[in-house]
Amino acid sequence: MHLQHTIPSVFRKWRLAALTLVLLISFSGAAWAQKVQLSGTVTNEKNEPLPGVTVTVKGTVTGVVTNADGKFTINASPTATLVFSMMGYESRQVPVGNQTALQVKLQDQLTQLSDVVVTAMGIKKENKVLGYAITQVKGESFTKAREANVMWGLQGKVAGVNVTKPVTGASGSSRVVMRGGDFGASQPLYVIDGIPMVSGNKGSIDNMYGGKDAGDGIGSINPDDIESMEVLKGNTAAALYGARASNGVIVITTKKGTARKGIGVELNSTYSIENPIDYTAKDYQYEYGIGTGGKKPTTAAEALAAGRSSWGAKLDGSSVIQGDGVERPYAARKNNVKHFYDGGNTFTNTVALLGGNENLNFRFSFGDMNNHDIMPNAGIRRNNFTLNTNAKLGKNLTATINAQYIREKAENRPWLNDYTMNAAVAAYLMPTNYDIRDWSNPRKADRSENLWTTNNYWANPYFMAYETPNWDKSNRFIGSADIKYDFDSHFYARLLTGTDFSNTLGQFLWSDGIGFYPKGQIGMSNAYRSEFNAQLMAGYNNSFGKNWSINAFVGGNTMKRSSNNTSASGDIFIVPGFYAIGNTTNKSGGYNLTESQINSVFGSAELGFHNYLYLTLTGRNDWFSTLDPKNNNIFYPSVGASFVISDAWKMPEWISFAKVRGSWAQTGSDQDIAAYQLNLTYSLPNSLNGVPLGGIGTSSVPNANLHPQLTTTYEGGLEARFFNGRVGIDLALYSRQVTDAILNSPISITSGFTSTYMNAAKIGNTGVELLLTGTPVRSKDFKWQTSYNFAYNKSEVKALINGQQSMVIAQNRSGLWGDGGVPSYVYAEVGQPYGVLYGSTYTRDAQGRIVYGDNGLPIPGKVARLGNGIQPMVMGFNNTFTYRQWSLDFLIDGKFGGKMFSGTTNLAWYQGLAKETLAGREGGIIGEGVTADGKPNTVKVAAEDYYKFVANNIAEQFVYSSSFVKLRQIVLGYSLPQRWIKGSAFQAVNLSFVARNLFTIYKDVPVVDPESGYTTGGGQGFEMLGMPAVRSFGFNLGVKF
Amino acid sequence: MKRKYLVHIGASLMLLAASCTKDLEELNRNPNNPTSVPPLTMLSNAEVATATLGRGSIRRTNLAFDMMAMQQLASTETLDGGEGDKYLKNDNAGNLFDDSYGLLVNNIVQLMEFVKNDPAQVNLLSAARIWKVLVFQRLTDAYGDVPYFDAGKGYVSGNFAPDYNKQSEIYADMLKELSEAVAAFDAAKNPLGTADVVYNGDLSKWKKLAYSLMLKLALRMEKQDIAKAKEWAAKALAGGVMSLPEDVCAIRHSAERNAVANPITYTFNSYDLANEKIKISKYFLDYLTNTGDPRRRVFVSTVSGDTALASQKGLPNGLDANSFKAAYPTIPLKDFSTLNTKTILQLTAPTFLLTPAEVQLMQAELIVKGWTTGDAATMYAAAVTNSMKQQAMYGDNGVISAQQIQAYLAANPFPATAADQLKALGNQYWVATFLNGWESHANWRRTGYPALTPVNYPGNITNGQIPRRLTYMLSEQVNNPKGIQSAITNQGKDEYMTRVWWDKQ
Repeated sequence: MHLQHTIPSVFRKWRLAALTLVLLISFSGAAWAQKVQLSGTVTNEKNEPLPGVTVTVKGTVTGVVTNADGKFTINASPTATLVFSMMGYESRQVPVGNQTALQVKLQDQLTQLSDVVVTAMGIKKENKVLGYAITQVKGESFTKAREANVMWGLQGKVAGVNVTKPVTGASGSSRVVMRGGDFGASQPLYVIDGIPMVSGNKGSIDNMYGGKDAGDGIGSINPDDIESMEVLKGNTAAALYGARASNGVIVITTKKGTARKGIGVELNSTYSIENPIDYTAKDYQYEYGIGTGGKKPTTAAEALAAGRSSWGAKLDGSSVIQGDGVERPYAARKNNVKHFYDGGNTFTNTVALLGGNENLNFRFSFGDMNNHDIMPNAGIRRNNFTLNTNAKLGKNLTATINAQYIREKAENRPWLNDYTMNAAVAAYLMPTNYDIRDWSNPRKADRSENLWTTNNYWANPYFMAYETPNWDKSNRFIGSADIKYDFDSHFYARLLTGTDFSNTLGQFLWSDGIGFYPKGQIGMSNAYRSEFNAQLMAGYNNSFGKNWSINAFVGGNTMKRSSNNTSASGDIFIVPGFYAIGNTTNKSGGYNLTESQINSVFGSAELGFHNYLYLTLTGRNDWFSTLDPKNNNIFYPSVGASFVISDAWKMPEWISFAKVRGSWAQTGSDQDIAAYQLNLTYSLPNSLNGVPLGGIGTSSVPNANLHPQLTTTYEGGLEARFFNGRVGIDLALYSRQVTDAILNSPISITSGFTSTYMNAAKIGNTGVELLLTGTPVRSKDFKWQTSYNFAYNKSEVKALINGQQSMVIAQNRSGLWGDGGVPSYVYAEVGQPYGVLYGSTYTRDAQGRIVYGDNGLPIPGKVARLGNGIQPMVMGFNNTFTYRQWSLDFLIDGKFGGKMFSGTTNLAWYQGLAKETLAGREGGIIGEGVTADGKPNTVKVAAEDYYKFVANNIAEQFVYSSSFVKLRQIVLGYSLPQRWIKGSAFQAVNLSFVARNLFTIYKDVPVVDPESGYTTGGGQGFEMLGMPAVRSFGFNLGVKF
Repeated sequence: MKRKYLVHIGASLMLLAASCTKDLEELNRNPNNPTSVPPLTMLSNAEVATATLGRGSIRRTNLAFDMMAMQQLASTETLDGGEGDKYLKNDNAGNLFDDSYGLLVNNIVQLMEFVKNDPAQVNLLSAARIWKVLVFQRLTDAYGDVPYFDAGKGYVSGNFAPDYNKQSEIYADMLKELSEAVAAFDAAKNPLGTADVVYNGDLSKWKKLAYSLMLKLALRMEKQDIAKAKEWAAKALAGGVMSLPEDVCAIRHSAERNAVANPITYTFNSYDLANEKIKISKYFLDYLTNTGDPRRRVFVSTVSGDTALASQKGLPNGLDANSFKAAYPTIPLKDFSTLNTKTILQLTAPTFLLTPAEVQLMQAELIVKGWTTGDAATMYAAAVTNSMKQQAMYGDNGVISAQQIQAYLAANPFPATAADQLKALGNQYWVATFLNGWESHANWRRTGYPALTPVNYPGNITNGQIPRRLTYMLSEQVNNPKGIQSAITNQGKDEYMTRVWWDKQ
C-alpha cells in the first residue's frame, strides 16, 4: 500500500531530525555549561508542600516532578531559569543564579485564565496553543458551599454558561446551556476522565400536566472528587468529541493520587440547613378571607366550594366554618409556604484516601450525601465510591483506571406545576384565613383525601407528602481505562474505554383514597441505561529545528447506547393501604429496548511555530445508527489558530501575556433523536376475547430522509494578563449557526399524528463573553482577588418546518380546564430569539391606553409576543479576600433581559389572594383607560368580577421581568495555622461558614422567586406552583491528614 | 517494528469505519414493535377503539357533555364534569375530535392504504370504508366542518395540516362511499372472519350496517337538500337496513384489560363517578317512570345497585354544590341514582354503536313523513321491542320480558296525529340511544325531541340555551390555523351555539 511506504519513511526522516534535536538538548548542558545540581521544596501559600509540581528548565524539555514532600532535584546551569507549573496554581519562573537550594512558593491561581488546561480527549495542553475559549473551574469551588446537584453550583462562575436550577427540590436536574444551544435539549456533553457520561435528564416536568423531576446524570457526581472542570464552549474542541458535543463540552477531571509517604486522608464535611423563601406574607392581601361575593361561607360545603376564593368578607376574627367542618377564627394566617416547607437539611461527608509512589498511585473516596428536602418526607441520599489509579507499567506503558459506583435513593420527588399531587398548590393558594397546618390530617375518617376544595385534583399537601410514597433507587457504575503506550518519545498509541451504566428501580403510586382517583394505582419500573465507548488513537509529537513543532493524532471511536425498561402497573387496589401490584384488580406490564450507536473516525494536527503561533486542524466523521444508511454520516472539520503576541515580540514589562485566537468549526449531530424513528411501526398491545388488535404504534410521523444537522461556529478571542498576572482579560466573540436543524414539530392531529421530525429549521446565536480578573491587593497578609464575567447571547430562529412562521414549544398549565387563569405559551418564532413568551394582551388604543367594554371590563386583545423567555445576558462577580488564615469569598450573579409568565401570581389574582386585588373591594373598581370611543371608562365593576376576568383573559398582566441580581454564595473560612498543627497528624484544617442564595438584591416578579422555573425543558419563562426557592446556611470542615 | 504498530492501528481504524453502515442499519431495527401487522387486526382495532376511545372523550364529551346537555345525566360539578349540564366552557370538548383522528382515522386510512390495490382484500377494504363513514358521521355531526379528504394522511402523503372540508361535501362523499363499498363486497374474496369482532365476517350484516348508516345520513340532511335526502333514503331502504336484534352494531367488551373493557364502566371506576359525580337526570328518570318504561331498571339504580323505584332519585340539571344543598338540605348527593351498576356499569357491558331500534324509528318517521310506505305504528312497536330486547345483552338483569314489552306498548301506543307521532319517535330515539350521547344530541338537534327545557346556570356561555355542537381541539388553532380559519369562515364561530350545516334553519 502506498501509505505504508511513504508515511513511515517521512516519519523516519522526522525522527532523525528529532533524535538529533533531543541529543543536542541532552548534551547541550554538559557541553556548554557547568551544570549545578539544585534541590528545593515547593509549597503553596499556606506553606503546605506541593507534590506533583512540574519543574522544567526554560527552553528545554528537561523536567522533573516534585515528590510527596514537595521536594525536587534538578540539574541546571546558573544562567537557566526554572519554570514551576501545576494546575490550579500560577506558574512561576525562578532564575537559578548561584542558588543551590530553593524554597518556591506557588500561589493559588489568581485568575481563571489558566496556563494548563485539560482539552479534548483528556489531553493537558498549554492554554496558549488553543484557538478557542476554554474556562477552568477548580473543584473546590463546588465543595464548600454545596448544592445537591453539582451543576447548580456553576451558575455565575463561567462567562457564557447559562445555568438554570429549576425549583424541583434537591433531587432535581440542571439546565446548562452554552451559547444559546439549538432546538434540542441543548445541554452540553459531560466527559469524565475522557469518557462521555450519560447525563441526560431522566424525566422533566411537563409544562401542562406537571410531574416530577427525576434528576440527571451529572447531578450524582460527588464534587469532592472533582479536581477541575474545563468548560469548552466552542465547537473546535467539540469536534473531537463528535455529535453530542455540538452544544459544548464540560470535561471533568477527577482527583488523582500522588506519590507520597504513607497514606493521606482527606475529609470534607458540610452540614447545611435549607429554608424556603416565602414571599406570600409580603405580596398577598390579608384583609379579606374565604368566601364569594364578599360573604363568608356558612356551611362546610360552602367553604369547600369557596376553597379557591378569598373574595369573602373583611377578616374580623369571628368564628367561621372551614371546609373540614371546623370553625376557626376568620383572621389572617400568613406564611403557609414557610410553615409547610420549612426544615430541609443536608449533611455531606467525603473521606478520601490517597497514596502511592512514582509508579503507582491511587485515590479512593467515599462520599455520603444525606438530604432531607424542604418538602416534608422527601429527600435524597447518595453514596459515591470512587477509585482512581495511575500506574506506570514499565518504561513505556501507563494506565489510568477509574471506577465510580454511585448509589442513590430519592424519596417523594415533589410533583410540581399542575394541581394534581402538587403540595405547592395548598402552600400558595389556600385562602388567606387558612393555616395549612390545620389540614395536616392527610385523610378523612373514610380514608379519602382530606380535600380543602371541591376540586378533587387540588391536592392536600400532607397527603402528597405522607400518603403517596413514591421512590426510586439507582445503582450506577462509571468506569474507564486509559492505557497509553509510548513507542518512543514521539509516537504513542492510546486505548480509552469506558462505560456508564445505571439501573433505576422506581415506584409510582396513587394510593387509594387519593382525591382524583380514589381506587388508586401503582406502577413499578426497572430501567437500565448504559453507554459504552471504545476509542483507539495513535499520536505523534515532535519538534523540528528551532521553529517547528507538531502534535497530531488520529483515532476511531465507537459509542453504543442502550436503554432497557421493564414496567408493570396495577389499577384499583383491593385491600386499602397495601401498595403492591399484586393487590390490584387490573394488572399490566411492558418492556422496551432502545439501542443506538455512533461510529467515528477523527484526527487532529497541531502545528506550532516558534512557540508563539499555533494552528490546529481537526476533522471527524460520524456514522449514526439512528439515521438511514443513505444519509447517516457527516464529516466536519475545524481549524483554529492562536498567536501569542507576548512571546512573538518583546512586550512592555507590564504585559505578562497576550494572545489572540480565532477558529472556525463545524459539528454534525443527529440531535440525539431516539432510535427507530425511520419507519412506521405498529403495535398489538391488546386483544379482545383473543382477537388481536393491531394499529399504528407511533404518534410521530417517521421521516426516513432525516440527515445530520450541522453547526458552524466562528470564534475570535483575546486573552491577556498584565502586571504579573494581577489583571487579566479573556474576551470571546462568536457566531454559531445551526442549519438543517432537526426539529420535532407538533402537527395537526387531523393528520393522524401529533408530531414529526424534520431537517428544515435554522437557528443562529451570536454573542460575546468576557472575563475580567484582578488582584487589586496583594500584600504579605492580605489579598483580594476578584473576577467578573459577563455574557450576552443573541439568538435568532431563522426557519422552522413547512414554511411555518411560529411553533409552540410549550404551553403553561394555567387557564386550562376552566380552573382559572389564562394560557401562556413559549414559541419558536422566525426572526425572534428561541423561546419567546406569548399570551393574550390588553386591547389598547393608539395612545397605549387600555380599552374597556361597555361592561367595564378590559377587552382582551390578541395573543401577542410578550418577551424573551430566556435571559440573554448573564453575569457573575466573584471576590475572594484572604487575610492570614482567614478567607472570605462571595459571589454575586445576575441574569437580565428576559421575561417570565407567573402562573402563581395569575392564580393569586383569580383567587383574590394577590395584594393588587384589594383595590375596589368595597364598592367596586373602575378600570383605568378608555372605552371604544376614546372617552374615559366610567363603568364600575365588582372587584371579584374584575380581577377574575383579568386573571382569566389577560396574560400580559402576569408577565414580569425575569431579571435578577442575587448574592449567590458566601464562604467565610479559617485555616488553622501550620505552626499549630505541625507535628500533629493534621496537614491542614479548614473550617468555613457557608451560605447559598443568601439574598435577592433585585427582582421584579411578586410572590415567587425570579428563578422559579419548574422545567429544564422547553418551558423557559414559565413559572407556576413550583417549590419555593431555598436559602441555605451551613458549616464546612476540611481536614487533611 | 514501530511501522508495524502504525499499520495495525491504521488498519483497525479503517475497519472500524468500514464496519459502520451495515451494523448500524441492523441496530436501528425496532425490536419492540413490528413494521407491519396483518391488516385484519387493524379492522378489529378500529372497531373496538370506536367504542373505547379515550377516557377523556368518554367522560368529557359523551357523559359530561352530550348526555348531560340531553338531560339524561346530571351533575353538581361546575368544571371537569358538569359543563354539558350547565353549558359552561369546556376546553376538552375537543376530545372526541382528538381521539377520532389519533386513534381511528389514522388506522383506518393506513389500513385502506394497505389493501386498496389488492383485489383479494376487497371485503376488508369495503368494511374499512363503511367503518370510516361510521366514525366520520359521529365526528362531523358533533363538530361540523372537519378535515376529511386529506385526514389521517400524515404518513401516506406528508400532509401535516389537512384542509377542513365542508360538512355538505363530507356528507356527499360518505354517501358515495357507502354505496360503492357495499357494491364491492364479494363473498368469493378473502373473508373477514373472526377479526371482524362486530359481525364475525357476515357480509350481509355489513350491508345492513352500510344501508342503515346511509338512511341516517339521508335523514340528517333533510333540511338542506330534501330531494337528495329522499333519494338516498330510498336507496338505503331498497338495499335493506337493520331489522333484527342480531343486526346490531355493537362491541362486546371484555373485563380482561382496561383497554378493551366497557369504556363507561372503566371511566366510572377510574374516577369514582357514581357516588357524587354523575347522576341520572331527574328529567330522564321522570320520563322513564311516567311512561312505565321497563328500561328504567336496566339504566338506573342507586350506587349500591338497588333498582326499586322507591329508592330512585333523579338529580335536576343545572345545580352546583351550593344550589344542590339549598334544594336538598337533608339528602346526601350519594343517595341520588346513577347508572345501574349491575347492568351498564359492568366491565363486560357492550357498547352500542348503531342499533336496529334507531333504524326502525327512522323508518317509522319516513312513513309518517310520507317518504316511504308502510305501517308506522308497526314499525314503532318493532323499534321499541328491539330496543327492549337489546337490553338482554347487559346480562340477566337486563332481560325485559315479552309481557313487559306488550304492557309498555299498550300503555304507550303510537299516537294518532303526525305531530304526536314525530314526538313519540323522537322521545323513543332519545331513550334508545341512551349512553350514546353524541347520537342523542344529533337527533335532538334534527328533530327537536325530546322537548327539553334548558337551564340557565350563572356564567353559561350559550345564553341559557342547549349547545348545538362541540368546539374544536384547541391545539388546532396553532397546528392548523389555516384549516380552522376556513372552517370558521364557512361555518361560523367555534362556539357551542354555531349550527352545523345540516342543522342550519
